[in-house]
Amino acid sequence: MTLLPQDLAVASEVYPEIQKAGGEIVGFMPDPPEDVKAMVERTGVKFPMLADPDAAVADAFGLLHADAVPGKNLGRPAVLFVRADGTVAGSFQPANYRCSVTPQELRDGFAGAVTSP
Amino acid sequence: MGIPVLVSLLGALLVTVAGLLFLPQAPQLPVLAEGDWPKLILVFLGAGWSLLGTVQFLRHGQARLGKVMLALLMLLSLAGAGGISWWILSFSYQLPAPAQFAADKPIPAFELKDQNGNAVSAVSLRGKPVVLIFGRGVW
Repeated sequence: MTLLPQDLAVASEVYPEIQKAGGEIVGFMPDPPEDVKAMVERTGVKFPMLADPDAAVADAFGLLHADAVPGKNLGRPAVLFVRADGTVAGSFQPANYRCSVTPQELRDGFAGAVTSP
Repeated sequence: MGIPVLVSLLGALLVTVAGLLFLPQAPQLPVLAEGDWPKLILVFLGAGWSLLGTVQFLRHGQARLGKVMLALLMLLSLAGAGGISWWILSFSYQLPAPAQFAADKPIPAFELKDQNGNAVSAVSLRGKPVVLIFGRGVW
């Protein structure tokens, strides 16, 4: 089961606006490259989706859910809004992994990353 | 109508009401740590009353049809309580606490390949505002 199709759908919906505003969306999946490629093909995601097979990058961001299912590390779902200088302006980190970001939350978060110093 | 019947009916009602209280959360999943415990206790309490009342009525009651109907209702309550508990307990587990990000510290360095084999890194994303979406992954 590939979760967060809702997040990806929301991101795909808002992607043209974000591109127009000079921004970018990047997705991270803690899965092997072939799984990520298959998911991109299935969902038609246009923005870069990165394969982070051992969730090492998620871990570096502090977004690892260690032993989420016995013997397997998963990512902690999150949306980060990063400024042009590479610092984090804000984040969306639900307590419930089924809660996905709304288009408006994504727009607002991105606007925060654009305008904040 | 005797007390056992009342207790049994009340138990079934309690399971139903508690189950309905969970309904608004159905599109997502319940998070026990965020106040769903009382409702789960109601479910267990209702199932217990239903069981207790029905067993009492089966032992001491007279009406045969009443026994059958009450037993059926009890089975429904127990099945409902079991289903609700399974749904909550198997799907509701807390994620780790949200990650904290220092206001002035850049995101950690990384370099990964995207779906087309192009390398994307923290450095290559500099210069424009970026939305990073971290997925949970396949399991």
